Amino acid sequence: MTRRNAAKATDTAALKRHKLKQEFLSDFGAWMLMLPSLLAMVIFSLRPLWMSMVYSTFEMHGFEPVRFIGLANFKSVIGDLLFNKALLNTVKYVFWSLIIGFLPPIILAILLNEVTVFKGGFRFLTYFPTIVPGMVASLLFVFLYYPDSSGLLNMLLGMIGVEPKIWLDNKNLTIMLIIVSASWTGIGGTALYYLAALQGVNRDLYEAAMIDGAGIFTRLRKIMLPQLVPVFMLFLVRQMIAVFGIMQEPLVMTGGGPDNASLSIGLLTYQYTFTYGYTDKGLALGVIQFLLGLVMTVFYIFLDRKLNKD
Amino acid sequence: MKIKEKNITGVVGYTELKKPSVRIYHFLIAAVLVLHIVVFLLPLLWLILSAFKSTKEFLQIPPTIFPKKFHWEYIPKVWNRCKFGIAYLNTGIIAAGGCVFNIVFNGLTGYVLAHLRPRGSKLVNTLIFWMMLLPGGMSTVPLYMTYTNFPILHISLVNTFWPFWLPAMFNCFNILLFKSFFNGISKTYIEAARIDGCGNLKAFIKIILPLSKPIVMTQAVFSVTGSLNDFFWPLLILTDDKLKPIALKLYALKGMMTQNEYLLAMLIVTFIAAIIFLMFQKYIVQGISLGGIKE
Repeated sequence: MTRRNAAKATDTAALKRHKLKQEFLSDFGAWMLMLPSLLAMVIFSLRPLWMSMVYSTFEMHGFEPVRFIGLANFKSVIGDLLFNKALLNTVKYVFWSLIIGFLPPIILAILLNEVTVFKGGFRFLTYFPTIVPGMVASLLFVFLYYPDSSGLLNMLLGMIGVEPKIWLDNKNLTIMLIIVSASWTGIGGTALYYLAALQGVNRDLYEAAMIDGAGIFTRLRKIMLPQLVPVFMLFLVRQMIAVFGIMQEPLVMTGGGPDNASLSIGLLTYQYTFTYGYTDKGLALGVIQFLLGLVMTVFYIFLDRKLNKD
Repeated sequence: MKIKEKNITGVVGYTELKKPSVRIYHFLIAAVLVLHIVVFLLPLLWLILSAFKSTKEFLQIPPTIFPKKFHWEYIPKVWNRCKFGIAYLNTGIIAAGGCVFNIVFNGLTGYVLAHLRPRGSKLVNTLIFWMMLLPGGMSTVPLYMTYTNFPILHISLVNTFWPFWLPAMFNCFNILLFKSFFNGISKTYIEAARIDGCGNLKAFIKIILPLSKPIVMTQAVFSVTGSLNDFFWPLLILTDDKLKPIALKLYALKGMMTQNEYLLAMLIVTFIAAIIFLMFQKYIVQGISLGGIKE
């Protein structure tokens, strides 16, 4: 009797061990399937983060760290007039992208939602500029802003008798004009994204309000817009974060000029590293950009939590 | 024009539309949209009209609006001078490789996180979620250092396509897209496969991927449009003229040709992008709506 019990006990123990082993093997197999992806995560995401934290405190010789110098790189970046200019410009980029990029897509989305004829055609044509590759859009606008009468803008002005003007090379206009070209490709996509949200609103609400005697604009203001404020706000902050890192457009369109009037932080990082060869300053500026971006992201998460709570 | 009730999606109701005052509003809405589209398509129209002008006509003062003669013969000339054939071949190779690496490895990770869920995989979930929120930009310099001196192997990947393929193996957003799609596939399929003796990898290739055509296509479109637009990393990595993909090629030609020829080169690139868009429209629209999941 006892012997049989003992045998059974060892059996269950063996079974348990076997099961554990089996589980371990299948877990191990599952982890192995994720391994390539996780390796790529370490090599291309986590290690670079760590590298820029560490190496930004080193004096760099080309791309080789030479010696630890503490926060000296950060000091020299913050004391650099170019950095101050770039920071101010980046704020200007964000400002103009808010002015140009916030209301127009909302209005467009509402119009596209209201229109009852050629719906598909309107949608397609509104989206069409988004198809144009970003590089072509930037280069095309360089031509549109061309300072002699061969540029479209000056050509149009010429028709009403205005002399050709300087556009991109005008210090006061350059940032706004770069944002206009970026918005040209962006607005259609954003409008369709908003439109999808607008169509998610239950139409019965409008009907009910109409029966209660609410006019068209009252319905728009009191029923449609309140439901979409979270979508707009979150998109706005995401756009701010994206524009904060703007680099490609000024690089292609102006190279940061005239007289650094369109230099952004992202572009300055590139110039420090690849034009002037100050890798250490490039790394330090990268960290500063990261920290500023992090503040905005934390704000985004906070806003997201708050808006999606109710 | 007769208005169909199913076309109404806005705040204005069907019965209201019969009122004359509302009809005027409605007309105005269409008019504003037409105006917007005209203004927004003007640059493209100008591009088309200017690209076919001769150099002399392009620079002439006062400028003409319509070209006197459409110089179609410039198309093959510009195509050959720009070596766009090679540029598109490079773009295609980058896109295809990136696409395979993206779908296979992010797909596998999404599959493990959705169905296999080994112990400890929650940690990966959380890590991916937080990493997605991290702002980019800081990594430019250290990533460049990684590519010029690859860890462990100590080789330079400059002027190879690896810097475009390898990082595609891990993309937080794509992993989450795959994961949320695979969550919708019933576990019974996988269990049935396992009873038939399929391993996890085999189940992924034979069962999961064939069931996931929409997400696979959407990811493929992401890869292709990404490669068409990719400029900055090719600028840093692909210094050899023979390896340049299309966006970088176009940038490199800046100032190398007459203005009208350069505009034609831009028009060709736009045209090809538009064709690709029309071919994959369905999956791109799907991609936009999937993008909404990110919220």
